[in-house]
Amino acid sequence: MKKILLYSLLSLTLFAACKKEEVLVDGQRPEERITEAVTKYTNALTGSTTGWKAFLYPDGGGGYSFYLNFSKDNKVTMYADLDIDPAQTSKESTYKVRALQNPTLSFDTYGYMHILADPNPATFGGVAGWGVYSDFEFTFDKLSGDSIMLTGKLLKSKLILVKASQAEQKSYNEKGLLNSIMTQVNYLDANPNLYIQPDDSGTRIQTSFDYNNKVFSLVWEENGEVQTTSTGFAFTLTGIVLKEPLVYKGKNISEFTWDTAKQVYFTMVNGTRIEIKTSVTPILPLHTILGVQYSTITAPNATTYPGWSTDFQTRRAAAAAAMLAGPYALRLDRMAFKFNSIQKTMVLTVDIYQGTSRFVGDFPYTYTKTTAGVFKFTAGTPTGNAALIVGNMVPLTTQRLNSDNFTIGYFTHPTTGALLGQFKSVENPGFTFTGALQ
Amino acid sequence: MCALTILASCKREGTLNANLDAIDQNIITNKNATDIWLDQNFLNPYNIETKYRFDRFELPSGKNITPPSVDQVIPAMEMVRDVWIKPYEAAGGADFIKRIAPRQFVLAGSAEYNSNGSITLGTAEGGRKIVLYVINSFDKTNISSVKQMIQVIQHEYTHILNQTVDFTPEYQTVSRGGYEANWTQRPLSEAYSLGFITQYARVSPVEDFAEQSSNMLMMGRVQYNSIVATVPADAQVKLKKKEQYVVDYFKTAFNIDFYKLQKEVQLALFKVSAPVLHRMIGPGVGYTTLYANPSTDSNQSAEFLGLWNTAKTSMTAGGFVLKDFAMTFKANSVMTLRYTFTNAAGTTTYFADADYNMALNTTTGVTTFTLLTTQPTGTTYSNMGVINARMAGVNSYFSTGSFRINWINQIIPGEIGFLGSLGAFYKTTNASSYFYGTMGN
Repeated sequence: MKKILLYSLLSLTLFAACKKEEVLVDGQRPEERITEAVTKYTNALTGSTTGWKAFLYPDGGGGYSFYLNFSKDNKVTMYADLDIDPAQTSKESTYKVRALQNPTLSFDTYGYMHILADPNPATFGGVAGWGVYSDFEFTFDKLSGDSIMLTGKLLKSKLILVKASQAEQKSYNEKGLLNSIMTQVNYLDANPNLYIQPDDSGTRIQTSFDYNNKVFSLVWEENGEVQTTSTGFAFTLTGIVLKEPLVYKGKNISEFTWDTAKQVYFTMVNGTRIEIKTSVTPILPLHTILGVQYSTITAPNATTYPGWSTDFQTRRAAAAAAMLAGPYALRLDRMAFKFNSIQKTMVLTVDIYQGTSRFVGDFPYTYTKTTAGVFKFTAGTPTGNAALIVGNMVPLTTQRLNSDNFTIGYFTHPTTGALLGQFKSVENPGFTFTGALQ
Repeated sequence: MCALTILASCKREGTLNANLDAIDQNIITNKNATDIWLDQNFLNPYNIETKYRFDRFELPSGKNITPPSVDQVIPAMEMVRDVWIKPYEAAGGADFIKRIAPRQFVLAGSAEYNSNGSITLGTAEGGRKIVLYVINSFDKTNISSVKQMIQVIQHEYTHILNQTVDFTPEYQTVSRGGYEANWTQRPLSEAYSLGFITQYARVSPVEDFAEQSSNMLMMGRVQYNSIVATVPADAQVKLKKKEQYVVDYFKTAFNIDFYKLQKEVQLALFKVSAPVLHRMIGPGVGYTTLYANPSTDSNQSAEFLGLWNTAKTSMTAGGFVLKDFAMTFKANSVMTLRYTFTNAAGTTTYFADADYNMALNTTTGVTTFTLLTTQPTGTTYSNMGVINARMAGVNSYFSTGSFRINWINQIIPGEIGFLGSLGAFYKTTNASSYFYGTMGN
């Protein structure tokens, strides 16, 4: 009897619960809400009859631009800044707005966008199984004005759609993207040393466009150290756009525009036009990027060489003669100075030949460096075959490298134009030598 | 009683009239030409759905797999229809695929990359669905591309057949002890020596059976037999046993003549790429023998037949009866020529062998035969010394000039690419001078 009563009560509760569910919070059934959302986003996509400029920033880094035109019958045509062909030939594939947990834009057959995610590294490089870690299914985050923000479902890549104007659509259809990319790439190839001077201090800030990986960086020197800030970038019809603004002393840089008339890049910061300038020599002092951009200065096997002082030549000749006269009849060959800026170490590797057999001797150093770029090397214990030539090397090592202070700067080879690195003794300014930068 | 109350109470609330079209992912409202083609060629006749639009839930989770390009779908599925379905219909009856088939093909543009460094080209789930990968690199005019894809289907379809009718448990005793989870690390030569047709066959008896069946179908008998002939003797016994189990399985479970099915598959593949005889010669590759009996063959060339008859007359004068000849194509470009003859009474049969170097240009299909200066020893080789002078004309025919290898179906109509097909060696200087024989292994 008790049990029956209990069940009856329970069923009453359930009955009530069922009844309560009839009242929907916002007056809509779930499927109605989803249908509405799907319709809303589909209409938004197909609503731009002149298509969309799209900027995709894969989880794996870099940035890529697309032009997308969505049709009502679930087709989408694309251009992309991935390569020459995608930039000039449109490709049609399919898309669908799906009601998954969140409304999702799925590029559901292969188009240019999938090239980035293609797991076969032969397609676009990257990692086997992942490509460059990009998405082709996105959830809608925000519709705002002429823009739609989306996030990749698998890897959280960022996709931003911005309505294209009629003029932009026309440009994409007339190889505008390819022409823009080619102009910029040609300029970047011809001008490896680019910089901006964003403030009155005159500090030169290197601007580096790595268009293979689509990474843009600002690099500058601060207290003798290199500071770098980087982000992905994508090509546009008129220049490049950055994934997020890069900040230098409060100044936000978010894009660069190519000035066709003046043949320069510029950007606007707080209403001021900042142009990118070119330089024939590298922007940053060599000492700041030794161990960063360049790790090794290699003095070749020679008796004379551009940038080698008489004192160096004499001392090198003395060392070479001593080795050759030694018990192993060793011939001095090239000398490589390898820097590690994190450990603050430098290793001098000397190639020595006995007949045609190559041996190496390592002379390890630790070093300190002033903010002005003066190096002081402290010799460690030579290792390997270096022990055989320690005595022979004294004119170069003990008498100079181990005892003097050095500055290290650029030196341009007078005939080849190659950029070399040059050691110069502070105490003995007549002792200088150069080597190839690697 | 209380449950009834609850149901009743809920039921009274109103009819279900939700429109779920927006939620159902499988409704395609705007069918394009590809969708319509798939309906006409797969859905309507076979009740097989082909899903090519990306759906993460149809693919392994956590993997990055890119979808197919739309224009790759029809070429791939044409080959599925022609090389997989049609042969089964020919050998198993028009409704065979309708009765037993996967219900769904899911197409993926890329491969699935696995953590052990391998890539997956196809998977099957519970007899219901087959996932075909690398559709974007599929080329229906490239025989290896077609073979790679259909191989996957034949393999997975064997699983589906096995789920309908199990194969005999004795099958797994043939290569007992050879199954190995770490198959990617083990070489093919080891798999062969244990009686497995592929490395993957070592995973389990179920995979072994599917590999055995699908490879026999896709290789055809000529290539399959040729591969079997190259493995150690005990492994040959195992592979032949497995072949017989497969043939018996198809007969008893589905009343299918496996060799007919195999032939139909080969015919479909020949439409993609006609068989080229000179690429089908050699151990592990295809044909290893040519047999001819010029006295009875219908259409040997006049020049060759004349030389043969002269030799025959000379042999008769020497007290022998010349019967026939055979060529055996061996490793390292060696061809062994064998004449068979008897004594005058026909009571004793003799063989006379000679080894030649067969310098085959695999591009042009042109070859020469050069008698090796050092011949193996043995009775059959020394027998050649006995009859050499009498056979001089024929021997000289073989070793003079070069031959272009081709089928002889332009002269003697017949099937090409199968065991027993006729192959000919035409003089490059004069195509009406040739010899031909039955190709086998």
